[in-house]
Amino acid sequence: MEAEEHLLALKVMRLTRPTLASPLPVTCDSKDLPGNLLNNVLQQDPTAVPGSETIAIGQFLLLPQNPVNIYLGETFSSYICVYSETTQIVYNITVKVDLQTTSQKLSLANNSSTTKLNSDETVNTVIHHEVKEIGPHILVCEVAYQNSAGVLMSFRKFFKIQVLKPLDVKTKFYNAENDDVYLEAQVQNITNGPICLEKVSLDASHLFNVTCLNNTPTGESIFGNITLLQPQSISQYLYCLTPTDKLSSDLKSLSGATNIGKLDIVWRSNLGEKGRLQTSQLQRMSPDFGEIKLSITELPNFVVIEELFTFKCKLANNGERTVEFILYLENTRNIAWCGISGRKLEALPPHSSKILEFKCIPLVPGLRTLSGVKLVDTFTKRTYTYDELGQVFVILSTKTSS
Amino acid sequence: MFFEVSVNLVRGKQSPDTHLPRATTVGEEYRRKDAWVPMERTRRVLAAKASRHSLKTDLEMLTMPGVLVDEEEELGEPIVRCCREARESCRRGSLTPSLTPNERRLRELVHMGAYGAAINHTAMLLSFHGQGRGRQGHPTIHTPQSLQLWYIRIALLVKTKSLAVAQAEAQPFSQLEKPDIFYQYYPEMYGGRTGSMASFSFRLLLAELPMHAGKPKDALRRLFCMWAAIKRMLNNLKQGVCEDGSATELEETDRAESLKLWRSREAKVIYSIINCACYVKDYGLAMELLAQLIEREDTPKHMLLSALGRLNLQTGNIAGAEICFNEAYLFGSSGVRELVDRGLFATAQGNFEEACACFQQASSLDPSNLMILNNWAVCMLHDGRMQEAISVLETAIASKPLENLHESLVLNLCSLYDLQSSKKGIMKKFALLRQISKYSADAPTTILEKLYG
Repeated sequence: MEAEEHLLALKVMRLTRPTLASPLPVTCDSKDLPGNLLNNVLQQDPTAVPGSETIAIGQFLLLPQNPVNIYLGETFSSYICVYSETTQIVYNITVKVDLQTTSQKLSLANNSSTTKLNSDETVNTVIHHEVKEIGPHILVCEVAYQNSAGVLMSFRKFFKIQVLKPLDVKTKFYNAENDDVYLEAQVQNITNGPICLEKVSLDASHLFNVTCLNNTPTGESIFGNITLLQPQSISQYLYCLTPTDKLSSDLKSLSGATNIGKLDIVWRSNLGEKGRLQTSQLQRMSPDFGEIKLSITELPNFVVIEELFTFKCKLANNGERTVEFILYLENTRNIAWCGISGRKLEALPPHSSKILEFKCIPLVPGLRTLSGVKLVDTFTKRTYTYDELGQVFVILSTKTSS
Repeated sequence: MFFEVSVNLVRGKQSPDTHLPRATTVGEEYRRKDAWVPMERTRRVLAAKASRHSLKTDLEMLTMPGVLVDEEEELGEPIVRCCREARESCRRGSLTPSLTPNERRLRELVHMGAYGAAINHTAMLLSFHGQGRGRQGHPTIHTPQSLQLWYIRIALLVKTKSLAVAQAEAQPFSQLEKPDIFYQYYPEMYGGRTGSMASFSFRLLLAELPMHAGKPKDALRRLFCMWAAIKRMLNNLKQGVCEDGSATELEETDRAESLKLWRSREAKVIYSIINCACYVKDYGLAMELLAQLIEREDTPKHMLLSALGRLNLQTGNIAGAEICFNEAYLFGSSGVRELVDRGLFATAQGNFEEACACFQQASSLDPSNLMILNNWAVCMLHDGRMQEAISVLETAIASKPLENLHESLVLNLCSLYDLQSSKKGIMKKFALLRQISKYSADAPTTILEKLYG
């Protein structure tokens, strides 16, 4: 800082939301020794709310008395006041406010010059900036003016701000058998106060349709009316992404579709202080379908013992050549197949699929796995064995179940 | 209590004939007011006392309080403290400092706001009861009067934020559970009178005390215990027996009066739990309890809805706040109340221009309302109008310095002065300090720190 005396002074105050002050409610009964004296004091307190004095939920706005943290995604606001400390008249005052982050310098205000400032007058600037980087920031305020002799003077002041991370977002993906993708997102509040999550939504990539699984069938949020997160608490969200028809018909691009979308989170804290974050593009592990894929398309959950049931599978050829298969059905302890084993299937051209229908009879009650399906490629002689195609619950009879 | 007052007002409008005069016996009223269910160990001691069994008293079961601090200096800046008292006495010309301590004088000191002097006064009065300085840990005899003195003493210690002293002196009382706090403990003195000798307010104050002293979890536990006890008493009443469960047949009107009193006391305890929940930022609990109170018939609905709205604003749930404020409006919130709520709502949205407009309008309806002027000034600052904000606050103080030199307002004004030039700001802060020392008996330390800082 220059040693020279300046005619103007610069003060900066961070503007954060005020708090609601309220008195300490100490009350008495009219039959107590002080009578209603303490109650009267409380009633006369300007920070008490008339009619509900004993509830310490105030309405008296109090400017924050302690430094408040600033978090990524919040709006940084500051009051910059340039005050004339001299009896002289000062001319052509300009106030320039920049924010220096670790990666760039942003201009927040560049006031057109104030022609003339008398003694005790101020130039007021209020800046707002949505913080988009974590780490140290420096607010640079530069004041330039001319003194009464017309000499150009200027000075700068620096203010350091540390931007903290407000939320920790963890995601997990599950690639389901039917090509759906389930996304589990954990949002943790790592600020030092409670926050209210106003909005958490998944902006899916155009390749998927999103179903939000965080509402009850009647459309209410499973978190209740308000998603209030105490410090360190976690709120968990679940989404189901269904590939668009176009995508699911093409296994190769389905396998390549790893971009899922972005989570958009809006929260508010003390008296409505707002923050907003968007995650970077979420990536899932690309599912490895291989050349040939056999997957269930229709399967009953419950089947009756010793009664024939049907299920359907999709056989897809993801490779570059036409394949021919021989289908083998091997009986297991649990299931007897009903169909011809060793049958040759129709040739399957590249990038195509067909639906196969299977019939079988369950032999043992309980939760049973469908296994024993084998495909042999007639050209390469390679065998594909499917021992965990799906599961059914085998019940004794429909009467006892219902 | 305001709670009861507001209930009465609302009721008065609807059915003016609910307060039919009725002959109530003094005994009935005492029983109702003092009722409390002792814990099992205490009940056994009291039963033995009633059957005049001589019982070796376990010291652990005695309440043995004593004054720990009676020097004014230890409580804070005595000169500042006495200013207001001195000034008031001069004006009244009726009080001379040499008066012997008595309860009337104590009430006068409290009325003047000379809390430090009042606290000393209680120490003197308590020494007459053998519970003065150095008596903590010695067996003593309690009377309703001595317990009232303790109540007012600890209440004032809390009010003057002498919390360490308050806690240390309150410690022997625990939660007023010991047998010697009950009338039954002294059958030869009070005959068949039953119930707690300590007033309900004292009980509530002691339950809340840990919150003020930085142990809010303890306070929550104590308050929930109190609530449970009251629920038990309400249940007894509903089943047609006395509050404490003794099988005396109650007259219908008597029972109705009791239910009313204890329901209102239950609400007080719930208010305290809400305050404590807010203090620990357990907003979920506070909201749930407020919502329960709103459902009750005997509560001022629009005030509670407005409070719930503000609580939602505090947590950041703006949409929820709007619903509450709208509902409060349906239940009769209007005029200033409505404008203030709208102003706070705009503040939470960050729309300070709109907030300024709301508070300005509210101020035109109620020009002397300090809260509105203060809120207006705070919003002006956010709107880039610091100097206007300062002049609003300075004008408010100048108009009624005695009432308006309020701690929170002074803190706001100091923040504004800080934003002004350093030279001028310090001068202005000194001027404020002079004013405070002139008018306020108990200048809180936070203000002094801010002013010197």
